[in-house]
Amino acid sequence: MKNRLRELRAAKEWSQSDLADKLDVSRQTVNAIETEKYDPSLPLAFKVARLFKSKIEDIFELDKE
Amino acid sequence: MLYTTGIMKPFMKKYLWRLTVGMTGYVLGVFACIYFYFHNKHSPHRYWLILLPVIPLLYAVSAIIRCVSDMDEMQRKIQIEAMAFSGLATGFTCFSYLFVRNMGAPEFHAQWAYYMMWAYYGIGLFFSWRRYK
Repeated sequence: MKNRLRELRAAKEWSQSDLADKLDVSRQTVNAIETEKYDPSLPLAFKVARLFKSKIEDIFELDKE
Repeated sequence: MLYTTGIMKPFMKKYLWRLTVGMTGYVLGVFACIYFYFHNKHSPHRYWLILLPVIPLLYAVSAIIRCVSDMDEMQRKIQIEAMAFSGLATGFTCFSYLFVRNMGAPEFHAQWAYYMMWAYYGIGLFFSWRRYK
């Protein structure tokens, strides 16, 4: 799954640790989501969307194939 | 705040406390087990003594499960994958031993399964952690 998390985080000038604090997850989790190695659960995806005041589909996108 | 500060996470504190209680109970259970065994060597109920250390161990296991379920979702996934690998690999290794035993393999000691389980857990943890790194 593709996502714009890194871009959105950079726009807010937050570090991965800042974002991890706000989402109540580890920095490693934020890093794994940003590098698209880990797909977040639905509650976490909602949390991310709420934090950036966006819709889930504006942040996360399913791979075409 | 919970994950990135240097302070120990609250659920980890609870976990360590519960694990300490469980392991203390286990040690006391072992001593009680040995004491009762040597004082009732011929009792037909002596095999029930094994429950004395096993019951606190079950509490320690429940503490581990609670700790894992309180973890961050990715950490939890890594732990669960490592535990699943460990459980399955230990099970299959023990089962495979039955075949080599008939071919004259050395006797398998029950405690080996315990060491093997931790070794497989370490291997599983390494590969699972690397996948999300």
